[in-house]
Amino acid sequence: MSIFDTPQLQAFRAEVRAFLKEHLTDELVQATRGGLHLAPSLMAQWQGILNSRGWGAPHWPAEAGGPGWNALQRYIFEEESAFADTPPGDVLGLYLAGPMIIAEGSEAQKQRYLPKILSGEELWCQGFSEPGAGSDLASVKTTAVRDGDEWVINGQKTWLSSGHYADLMFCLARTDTQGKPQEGLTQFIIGMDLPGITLQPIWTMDEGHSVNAVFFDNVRVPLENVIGEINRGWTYAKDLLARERVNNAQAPRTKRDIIELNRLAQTLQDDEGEPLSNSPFVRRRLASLTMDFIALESAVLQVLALQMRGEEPGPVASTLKIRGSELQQRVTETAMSLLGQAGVVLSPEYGGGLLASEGNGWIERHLFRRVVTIYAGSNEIQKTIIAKSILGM
Amino acid sequence: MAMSHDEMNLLLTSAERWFRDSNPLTDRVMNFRKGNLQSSDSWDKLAEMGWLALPLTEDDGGFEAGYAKCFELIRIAGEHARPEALDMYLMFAPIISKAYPRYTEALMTGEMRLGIADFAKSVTITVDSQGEQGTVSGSSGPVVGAHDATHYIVFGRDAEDVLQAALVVADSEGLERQDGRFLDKRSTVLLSLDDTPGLILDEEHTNHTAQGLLDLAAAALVADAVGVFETSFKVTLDYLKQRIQFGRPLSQLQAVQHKMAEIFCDVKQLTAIAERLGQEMDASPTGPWPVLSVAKAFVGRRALRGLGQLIQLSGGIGVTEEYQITHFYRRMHVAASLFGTAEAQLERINVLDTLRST
Repeated sequence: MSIFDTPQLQAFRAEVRAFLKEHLTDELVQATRGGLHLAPSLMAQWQGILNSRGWGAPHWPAEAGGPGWNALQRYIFEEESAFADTPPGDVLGLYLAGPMIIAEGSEAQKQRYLPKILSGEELWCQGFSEPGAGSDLASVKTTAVRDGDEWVINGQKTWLSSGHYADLMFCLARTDTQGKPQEGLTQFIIGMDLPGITLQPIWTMDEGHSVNAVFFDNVRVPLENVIGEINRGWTYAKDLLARERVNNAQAPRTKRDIIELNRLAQTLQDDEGEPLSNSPFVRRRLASLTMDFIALESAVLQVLALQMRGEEPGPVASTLKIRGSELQQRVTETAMSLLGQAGVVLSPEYGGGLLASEGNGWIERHLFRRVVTIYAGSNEIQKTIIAKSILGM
Repeated sequence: MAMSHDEMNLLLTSAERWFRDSNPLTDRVMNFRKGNLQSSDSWDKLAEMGWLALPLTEDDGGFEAGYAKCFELIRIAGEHARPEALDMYLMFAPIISKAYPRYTEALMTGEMRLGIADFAKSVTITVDSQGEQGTVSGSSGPVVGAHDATHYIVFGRDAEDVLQAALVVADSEGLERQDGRFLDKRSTVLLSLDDTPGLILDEEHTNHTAQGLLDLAAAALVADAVGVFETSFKVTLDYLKQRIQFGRPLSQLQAVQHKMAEIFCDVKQLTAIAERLGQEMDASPTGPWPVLSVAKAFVGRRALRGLGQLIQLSGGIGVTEEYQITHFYRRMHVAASLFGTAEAQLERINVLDTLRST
């Protein structure tokens, strides 16, 4: 029996399904299916709908505006949302900035920022990585120098997902050059419309524009925009990245992708006109992905069970990030393999295969997903965390 | 006159220089939205430098270089992700020249440029009673070398379900083109053919079966993949040696070293297998080539995976359009997916026959 097979959880699942059926429009579903980088207005639209039902941030505590769900309810909600093709939320606001402000922010910051994350009125980006500080995040060189009632920020950040439409950034900047590199960092909230901010698009392999570089030239930020304590930014960043690792397993969306992949195998035909899904070789590949998905989901459910008991998974969450991101890549690699010739022939304009419309979406996803084993702490960094923090090596 | 070893080396050196300096990858990368385009005088230059004579017979004024030497030139073109379909030319020009000598001069001067369509099951080729003229109907697979081809080689089946190949003129009646592009931004077209006249490229004219001709295209992609893989490895190695994280170059981290060493094994194996394929093809120019399927499958499995790992080792920069490795990854996908995917090639391998014949 599944741990989800209780009357309460079944009723909850039915409630979620009914809500999605009633409120999720075709336009939102098609837009979600149609491209990797959803228009911010559509993200905000769906976020507003969820928020009006009190479901804007499933993982936030009730006192911060969350629905008060337990870990299993959250998983059910994510799973049903993935199956229904709901637009993804603003991950950076909902999963990173919001929880950091809830944990470390002032009361004024909570009042000012959390409601607009919940409603989708303000979108966030993350200013952590720099050209010289990728995996080695503690090498951040962007500086924040206090000048009266303000901090003056100078430097450069890179890999800002959604930076070109975000309203706000949470940013790691150096406020002290003494001591260990990790000790002199502080988290700031920076309005993206402030004078001195210059954005530069970074085009990624999928030919999409979702990430950016940003340059700070004497950007002046009020004192109250510091999150938590000065020089404690590294600790907050580590906590934040640990939270992100569980989310990065992306189990519900991967389950949806494998189901879609199975459909692709049933649709595409071999030279004899037989569905590819009839091939024992293809069936074994799909079964192997299913095996690895169930292993991933089981590990995710273990973590959820821990969270149900009020415990945090700690560094073991790195295993979820590693296996989850690897599986996401293997799913699209399999799709490309099934598409074969059709997977490398595109229409002249961006978006979509020319030979097989079934390839639409898979090709871009395949290219973009090279990044999932790199971002949010590369898988090599996750392995170091496991070796050091769990194995004591 | 056959080409000496020194002459071949000179040619390769000049090719390296021209590929690097003329319409270089760095410029094409900066204009990626326009596509991976060749310059208008590319083929004139290739002819001027004598490279188009490389595979043609001495009697025709060529160098009769053989497959292994042609592979060397294709490899260097792959290292620079060249947009010209020189690889297909080097494999198919001698075939066309032998079957229909009247085209030899035009091939050597670059006036006749070949686009090779991947096999499509929808194409029907009808052969006339003399076995020379035919007609082609149906929708072709994607064409490599589509940008300015004057002629296409198209593969399909005849009424008896036998695989056939035909040469059709690009502006023939009943031929329509749908523009597209490959994943690596080289241009391609899909051909719609409606009783389009064509010259039959059968075994009698070419010494190759139609499958043998498809294998020539696959072999060209193997040679291209060698250059793509080798240069991607070198670019990544250079990056890892200069990228400082945690106070030292990434190349000094043991985990990174081991991963690079693993990929290096694949690079060396692909290089070796391609060299062996070239030797096998020179020793038996009309086939069969048991190593061909193995080599092409290796590209689709090991080399493609290795390139994915090189992106991983490059970090964030590895997934951006401005960095070369992105383009090499996409080009490796094209090499892996056209003219027989890894799965299709593995299916062709008869274990005992392959082991005993090599």
